[in-house]
Amino acid sequence: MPKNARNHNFHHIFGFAFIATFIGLLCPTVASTEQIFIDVTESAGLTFEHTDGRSGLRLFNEFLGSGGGFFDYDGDGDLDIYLVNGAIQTDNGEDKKPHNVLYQNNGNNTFTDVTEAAGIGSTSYGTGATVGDYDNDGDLDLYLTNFGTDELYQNNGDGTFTDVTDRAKVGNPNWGTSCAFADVNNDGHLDLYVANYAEYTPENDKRCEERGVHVYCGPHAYPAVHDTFYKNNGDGTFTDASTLYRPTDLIPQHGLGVTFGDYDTDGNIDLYVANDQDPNFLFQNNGDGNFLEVALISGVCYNDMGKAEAGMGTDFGDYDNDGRLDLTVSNYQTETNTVYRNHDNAFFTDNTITTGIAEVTHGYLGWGIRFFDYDNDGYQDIFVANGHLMDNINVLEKHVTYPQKNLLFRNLGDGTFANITSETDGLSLKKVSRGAAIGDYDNDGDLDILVTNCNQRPDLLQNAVGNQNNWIQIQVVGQKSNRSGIGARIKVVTGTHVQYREVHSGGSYLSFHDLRAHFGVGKAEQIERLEIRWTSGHIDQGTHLPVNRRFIAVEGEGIVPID
Amino acid sequence: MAAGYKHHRMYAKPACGILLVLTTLLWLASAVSRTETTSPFQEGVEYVKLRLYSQAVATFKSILSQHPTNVDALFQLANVYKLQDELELAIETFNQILIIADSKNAEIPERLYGLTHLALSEIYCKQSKLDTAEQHAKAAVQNRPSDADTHYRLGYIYTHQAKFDEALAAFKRTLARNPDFSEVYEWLGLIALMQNQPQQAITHYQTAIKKKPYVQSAYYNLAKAYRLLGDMPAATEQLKRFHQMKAYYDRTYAVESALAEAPMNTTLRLKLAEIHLEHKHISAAVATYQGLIRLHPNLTVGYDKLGRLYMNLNMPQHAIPFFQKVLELNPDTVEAHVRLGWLYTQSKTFDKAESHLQAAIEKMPQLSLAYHGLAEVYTQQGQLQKAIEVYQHITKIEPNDDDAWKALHNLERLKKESRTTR
Repeated sequence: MPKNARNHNFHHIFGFAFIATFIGLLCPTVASTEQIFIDVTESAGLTFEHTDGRSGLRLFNEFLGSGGGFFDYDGDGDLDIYLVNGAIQTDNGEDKKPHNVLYQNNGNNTFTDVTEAAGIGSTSYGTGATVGDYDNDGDLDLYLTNFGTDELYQNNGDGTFTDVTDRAKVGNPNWGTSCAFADVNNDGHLDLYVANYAEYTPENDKRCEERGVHVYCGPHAYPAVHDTFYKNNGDGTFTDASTLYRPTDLIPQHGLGVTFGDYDTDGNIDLYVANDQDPNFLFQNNGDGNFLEVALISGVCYNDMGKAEAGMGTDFGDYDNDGRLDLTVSNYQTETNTVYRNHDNAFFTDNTITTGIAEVTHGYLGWGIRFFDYDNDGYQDIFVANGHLMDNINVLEKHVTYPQKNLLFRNLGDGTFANITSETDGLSLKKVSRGAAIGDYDNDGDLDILVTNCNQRPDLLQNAVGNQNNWIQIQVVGQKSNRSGIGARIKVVTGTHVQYREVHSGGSYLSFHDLRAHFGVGKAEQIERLEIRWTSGHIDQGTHLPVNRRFIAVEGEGIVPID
Repeated sequence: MAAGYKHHRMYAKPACGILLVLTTLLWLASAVSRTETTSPFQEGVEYVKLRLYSQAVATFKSILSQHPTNVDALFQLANVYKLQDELELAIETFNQILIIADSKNAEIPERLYGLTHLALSEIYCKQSKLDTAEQHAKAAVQNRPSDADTHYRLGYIYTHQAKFDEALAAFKRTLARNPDFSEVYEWLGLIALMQNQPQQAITHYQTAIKKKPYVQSAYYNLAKAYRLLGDMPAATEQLKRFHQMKAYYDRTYAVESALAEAPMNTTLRLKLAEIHLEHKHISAAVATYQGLIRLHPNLTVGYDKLGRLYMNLNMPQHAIPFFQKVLELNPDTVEAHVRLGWLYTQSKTFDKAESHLQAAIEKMPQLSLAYHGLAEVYTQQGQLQKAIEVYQHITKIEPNDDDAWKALHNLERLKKESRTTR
């Protein structure tokens, strides 16, 4: 037993012995020179370049960056890419207006810019985005957060979108950051949560200094504003329920990361919000769409010093395959990223040190963060997008750089992770990264990564090794539940190995992901049992399913292969 | 001018430097007492204590311009850089000490050599370079094996590397050298928590709190330990205490941040001391007032506040010198005379008490409080008639002074009873 294994009771010792054997069987052999992720941005034709406005003034709204993600907007079975852009805030003499971009997947590892035709080239100062079929018409709609009024684009089903922000009444006027759809009251319609950052206008920008050096201001230079929560009325409109859902004494914080997940497995989807230098929120859904804020008593409010950290991105995921959603949060440099293990569906233990990620992440400023099984070994790994927020950090701290390497932590299956970043070419890039989205864009059975970068091109990182192991993907289609199947909980059993996923529309930072549930199953040759618990409460099951296949599960109609 | 993003972060998680300041101060204390220290050196040390870092840097640089290999000055200069978060400069300067030490011609005190390694270890921790930090911590242990701080640093590093057996051994050695090292109990508690041993964690955190009751993290983690045990009422109670401590920390942090920008600001220091007092953190309040006195030795307010504090703590012998100092700086301070009168009365030094109270009355003939003190002096000496006369005088100048009337009646009754008995 390794010295850093934490649990000494019989159950865990037994469990470890099994896991070690299992891992030995499942692990793909990854030589140190082997490329795990290949940077294919250029060959894929992603020429988009982000801008934060480049005012040179270090305006407070410039450092957050912008997100993006994977979604199959045209329903052709492969993932397209949407990228959010900033905007010019000062007169720099340029006529060209930066705008968001939609890339259609050509199905041959290349993409085509279809922004204009699709009509979703927003020129607002964009921050985040998320997707979900809010109107249950069978295609994915797109919500954008902006420094300015947020926007909702309804998918017309013919490759075009219509701006329905006003009609749907979701024009959050605050500075929205991460956002996510989820059906919080299980009525079959997707509601929407938007984290808001601060009350700020460039006209009231403050000059901040550190040891005489002009730097970006910290979040507390500007007051926080409450987040926004929209309840879906089911008729194409939403009601701003921000003041109804939250406890009346809740103090607004600087919200950045949002992830939904049913951490207490009571069938009602809960919500975690990572706040910047403020206490984080865990909203426990009481079943009727109202929430209790329970972060403190649940152990996920502060770090192990009892202090608020600079929460940036966050994600729910079951990294130890015990059926309970664990939690990870990315934080500022000299803080560590945090891994909270779900202890008993109500309390989380801070396992940051024991997982082995503390020492490494202490030296990075993390943003996008996501649990995903890159090597299909049956254990969810962690990817973190990094990059400092101060362009001149090197003036203040010689050992720190503005661009930073992203990190990939491989789950060793015993409660610990190994940093394998240095062994991988596509991940050796040093950029000023912000968002991170996960999805199998090339439909080859393993999960790829999209990273958004400040004032740079994004990185599309193609997974080159994952499909050496077996896998399955499940696309869920709700009937009574919301059409996107967001919130559906999927259980996959192979031998004695059990895994769980929930379909989420948000997570990470300013980003959205492949809505298909992806499971790596190692060398298992069939799925003995697959179970889907829909948000309606209905359960669908399949048995003895083949591996390396995609399935579609329509609520109440069973699970069938797509191809 | 607002502080930048990083400014806030510097204090966000002191994970890599709980002892960053502590070890420095230890060295400072010993450095000041060294016989070979020069006056400018002591001056520089004082600047550091008062957080007047630019003055401190100038002072130590001036010393070094005369004596470039003065390792004491080099150490202090490096330390100031460290405190200012100028970590690269600090490393460079600490390394100069090691270079001098490695040259055959120079002799460096062993303690300084060990502390230099310790300081470097702390810096590398802060820079997320735990392997390098570990090497320096080991060198510090080798040079200062009897120094608890060096073992603590090693334990801290091992904890963050998840090498718990090594960490526990290092912390054990720390406690063998300093059983009151409260931070160690916090780390022991955290390791127990991480190893899913909540009962052990509770014991460690309770010890930590007993030894240092003003650290919010101990309450937070104690609550977590109770929560793991399923004891919700105890967890809730500890979270309540955590909130109190957090509020205390947040308030002091805000004032200290402002003080970092304006270290000479008297109002801020007084406010800081008041916050400490509100939370009954007496030693911190005393230290704050002492800092104020060092910073403004000719201002009476620091002496007066400390005198009052000791007076409230019923420590007259501690209070008296501060009020004497107030009078030395401003002989017209009637209140100091009155307080000294009371304090000397408490310590039964009646002649001095009477003298101060008379002085107060001389300066403010209508000050009934001084008469009350004087009456008390006479009463305690059994001079009832004189006391009665004083109270009679009070009732003339303050006819509504119920206390005076009451005391007067009591004394007259006593006097009568005394006659009857005789």
